[in-house]
Amino acid sequence: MEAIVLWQHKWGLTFHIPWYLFLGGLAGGTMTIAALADLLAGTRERYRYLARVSAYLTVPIIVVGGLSLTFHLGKPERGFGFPLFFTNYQSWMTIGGWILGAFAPLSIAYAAAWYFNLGRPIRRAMAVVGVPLGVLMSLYTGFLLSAAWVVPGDRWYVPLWDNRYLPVLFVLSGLSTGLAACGLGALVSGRLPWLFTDDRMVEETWAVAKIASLADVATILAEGAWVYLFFASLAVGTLGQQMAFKLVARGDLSPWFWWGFVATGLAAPLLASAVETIFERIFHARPGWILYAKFILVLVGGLVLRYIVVWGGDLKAPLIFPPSMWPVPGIGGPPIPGPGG
Amino acid sequence: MAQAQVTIPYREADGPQGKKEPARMKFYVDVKRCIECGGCEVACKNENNVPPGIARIRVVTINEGEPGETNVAVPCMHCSKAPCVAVCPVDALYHRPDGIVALNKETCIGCGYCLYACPFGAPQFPKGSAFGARGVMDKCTYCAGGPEVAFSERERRLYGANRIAEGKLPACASVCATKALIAGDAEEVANVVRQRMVARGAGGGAWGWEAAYGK
Repeated sequence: MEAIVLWQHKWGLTFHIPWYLFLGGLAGGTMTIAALADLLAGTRERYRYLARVSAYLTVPIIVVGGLSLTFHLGKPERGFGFPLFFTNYQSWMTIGGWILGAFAPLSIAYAAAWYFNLGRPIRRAMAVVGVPLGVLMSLYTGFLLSAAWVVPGDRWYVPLWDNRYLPVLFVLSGLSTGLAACGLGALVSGRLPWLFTDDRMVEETWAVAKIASLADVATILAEGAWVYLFFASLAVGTLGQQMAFKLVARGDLSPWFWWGFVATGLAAPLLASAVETIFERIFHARPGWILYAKFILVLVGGLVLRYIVVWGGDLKAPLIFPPSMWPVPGIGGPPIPGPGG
Repeated sequence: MAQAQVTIPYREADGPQGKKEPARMKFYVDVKRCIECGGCEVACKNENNVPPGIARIRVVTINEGEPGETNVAVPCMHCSKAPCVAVCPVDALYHRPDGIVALNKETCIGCGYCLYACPFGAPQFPKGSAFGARGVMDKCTYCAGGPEVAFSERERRLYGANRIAEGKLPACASVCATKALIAGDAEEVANVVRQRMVARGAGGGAWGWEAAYGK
């Protein structure tokens, strides 16, 4: 078929946006985990510890991620003043500005409530808000890229950024990387004896890492299934979607996709969990290094996924000939079939 | 920032209630006529002092050197339902009353969301500090300048020429030797396109190689 294929580069040129998407999703994941663990803890000490580690982790992650987002702008000071300058409430960037603007203070307040022991009712009230806000934080990064229902006619011209799959993929990836970060945080804090006054807490850190590891297995399986559905639908989709599929799964980005994401972020962590279970059940050993490796692999895979999605977004939906088919209202014919349309 | 009254082209025929109707400015690109001379690109760069790295209009060739080679100039299409206007968080992109999609470089924060929303690749991000503005988008202005005092030094520096206020059409359409790129009020443009379709026939032949080089 005759078609003009446009490539445009901006967000993939610097580290800012891929790292923000990674850190924003990660922070959403850790906040959700912290709040859920807090609400479900009851009297179990290890859930309390999980909530505490996650709450502390969320703050630096969202601060670095938010700064990375703001400084990719041509005018960063207007990013900080978003309530004044972001006037188009149709746009996901404005909605996301408010989500981030609510999320960051809440995560700081929540961590402070843990640190200063402000009492359970205050903390849990924040956790009740924190669960939806954390999910929204991860979800929004996906909606930003796929601009669901914002563009008139629900059409978006970046075929890889499919609004049916990307938001859920980012939530699953945010949760799996969030669990990995919590597990890693627990393992590292278990190595810092000055943090604890008794040995019982050090024992708890291992239990927390195990919980995070186990929950991560389930999340990674769900993420893998979702990625499969995503790419299966791309492979049989519109011309642009097929081109995006070829770019990511067969073309220039395929080493990143297969080795960087599928192998590193999905397959290797599952293998690591299997090996770890064998060690524990059969040899009655406690191989900490396997858990360390697993958590780091999941985090690397999550970051590579964001890079793939941003780099793959440089491919525009092809403009099909003749131009009378282009979406020029008043003169042109029907709009070109975009993803989601 | 000095906000200026923008000069808008009006339709000659009166609209309903005897009111003057603003024109609905449009481009149309005729792939049967475009010969890939690049005159529109040069005229645009010359008229607007467009820096290297930005192409407000560019001629695209597909099937180059093969039967069915087709050329087409791609400027901003100034869509009625413009995705760039829909996604811009700060409302820097807006519709003028005459339908031209304009960019306010004072309010633009350079996030690049419009770059990904546009199907034609019209909004572009300059490398370096082009146009005296730091890190903001640049796009085809339909040679209508920007929201500044018309013909002012500032408008010239930020946006380029303001031919619409002078009563002229965009530079690219004005220089097009084969009248492949036509500009003007949508009704007028549609009339020209209709005449051409009647003259040379519509259907697949109108767009294909056969009409020009076939038996």
